[in-house]
Amino acid sequence: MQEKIRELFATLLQVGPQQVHDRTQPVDLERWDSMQHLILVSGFEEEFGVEVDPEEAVDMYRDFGTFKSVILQKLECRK
Amino acid sequence: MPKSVFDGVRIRGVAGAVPQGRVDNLRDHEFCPVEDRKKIVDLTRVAGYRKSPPGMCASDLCAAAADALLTGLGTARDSIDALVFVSMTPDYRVPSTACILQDRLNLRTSTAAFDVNMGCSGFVVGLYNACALLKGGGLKRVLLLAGDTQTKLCHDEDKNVVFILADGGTATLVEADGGDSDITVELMTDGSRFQNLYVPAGGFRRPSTDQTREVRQQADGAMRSDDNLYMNGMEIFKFSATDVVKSIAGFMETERLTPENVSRLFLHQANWFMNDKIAKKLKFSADKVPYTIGFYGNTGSASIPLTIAHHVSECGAPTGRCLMSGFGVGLSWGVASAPLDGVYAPAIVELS
Repeated sequence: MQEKIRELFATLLQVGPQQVHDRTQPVDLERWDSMQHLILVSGFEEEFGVEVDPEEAVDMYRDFGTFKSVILQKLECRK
Repeated sequence: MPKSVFDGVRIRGVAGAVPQGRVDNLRDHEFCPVEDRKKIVDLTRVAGYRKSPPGMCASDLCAAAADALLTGLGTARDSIDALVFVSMTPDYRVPSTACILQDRLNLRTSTAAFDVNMGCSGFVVGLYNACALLKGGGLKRVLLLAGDTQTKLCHDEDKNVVFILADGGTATLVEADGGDSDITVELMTDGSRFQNLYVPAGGFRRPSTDQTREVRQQADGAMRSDDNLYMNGMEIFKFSATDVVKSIAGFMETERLTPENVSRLFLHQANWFMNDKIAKKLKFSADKVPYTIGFYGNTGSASIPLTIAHHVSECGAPTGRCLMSGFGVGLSWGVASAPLDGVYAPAIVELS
């Protein structure tokens, strides 16, 4: 699942998956701006059928590791 | 600020005006790749909006709305006691645009008229001022004009703002009728975060120069000059998702309002994704939260009354208590509740 999240993240952001690591921050990827971030969150909500709280969406803008862990948590709660 | 409850006042009518000129977010903005344009429109749901031509000001739109409102209601112009003009985009730096509008609308010279420099919270701030004039000043009728031509502040290639910010003007007639209706308002301010949404140059702190007018790629990757509007999108999202939601929830709790007993929630039309999150967080069903963002965009101080006017003119006046919340530059935000039963709204005026 972790790899699927990374691939979807890279696809939505139109960057190479090799550019995305847990410590990757918005400042490291030119395309990961605030608008693209909300597009990412929306894309993950649609793909996985989850609902991200506004506060969580803000936290997810810290780095990819945080982004991924919020999504994983959502998926875990859904089980 | 503690909540202010203004007894015996009501909103009698609301009217809106927009420029005829349309922007199509999928067709225009060629600086942005087509795929990105589609994604932004999917996210914000702003398919397009209205943009004023050079020379058209917020006051022109507000005057058109005021004419439609006063004519439709049959309200005598010499019965207006005060005019409050809320805008970030006045006609001149000096004088107050409200003074010019007093003459233009043929209001009597004994009319009090002043500007309030506010953006997206502006309608709620203006409503507070109107109610205070009615109750504290003993006036009978206040004409509240709220409008902005924000597109004139934006650089055409700043994707943070150019897909969303739009132009519009409104007029709202607020009256002291001595009845049992009331309007309740609560305002909040946090100036420590003003630099998340502002125009860095062009005022007296940092006057406009050749250097500030130079368009260049800024730290956030967007193209604009320091004379253009800057928005830190993530900080504004955070502000809206946290402070604004908490304030609305707190207001509802103390006023004993619930998603069930509130008739409609009129939110500032920031963008669909953000507003949807706010509405869901507050547990409002989608049918109680009217939107105009899809076709009018985010019109700053005009967005709440424009949405009310559109909703009422299309669907009729809602029955029961309505909530309103505006939030934006300042940072400034506010919540108000008022009954809108029987409120009048003519069709939205298109100005060429």
